[in-house]
Amino acid sequence: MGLEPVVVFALTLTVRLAFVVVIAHWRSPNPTAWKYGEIATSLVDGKGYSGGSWFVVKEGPSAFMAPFTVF
Amino acid sequence: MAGFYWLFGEGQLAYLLVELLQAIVGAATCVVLYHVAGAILKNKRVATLSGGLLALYPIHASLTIFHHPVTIYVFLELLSVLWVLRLAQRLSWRDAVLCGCCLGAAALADASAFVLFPCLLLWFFFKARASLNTVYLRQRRRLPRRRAWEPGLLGKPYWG
Repeated sequence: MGLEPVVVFALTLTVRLAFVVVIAHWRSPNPTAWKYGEIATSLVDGKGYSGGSWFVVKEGPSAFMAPFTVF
Repeated sequence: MAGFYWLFGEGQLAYLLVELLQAIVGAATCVVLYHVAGAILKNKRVATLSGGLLALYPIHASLTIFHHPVTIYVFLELLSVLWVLRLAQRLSWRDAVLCGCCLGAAALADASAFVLFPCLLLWFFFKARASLNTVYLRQRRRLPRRRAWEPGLLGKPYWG
């Protein structure tokens, strides 16, 4: 393995970190987490894998969002 | 996300840590793309260019600040493509298990991963036909040797 993957990794990480730092100055205090954030909050609050549905019911067990990101 | 919220409380620190993790995953995605391009095109320059282009692609960079599974999903999909490529070159249980794990994790990250399953499977069977044939022929060659003791045991000629 040459030096190229390391250069690519460093370049990408720099661009993304710069993006996080620059955008953090003017975005709203809460990031855009959509329903994933709601379900994660429910998990931390002890309500289980619930919430996150925007129609039918607002609370209760949810199967709308895939679990990988939430956990 | 829930892990960070639980560890650090739901606030700016947890949000920042999620974004840092996504930045690292995004950087790893570019390295995986470098290896995928290298495996397909066998050209280091093109592979570096591919990784560099994704590194500077503004939409992929902007996804870092969204707490959305697309960053990790793209990473897992690309990783599974890389394992499938390696599997097509040389069949091994290790690569097969790793590929399955990546595909499973991608499906848990976003259900649209299920679209990729049949495509990868079809591509693999067409591409790896030579490798699969080699394995099949090797097993067929072994077969008579393994069954050579059976006629003696059953008391009849081998061709009977």
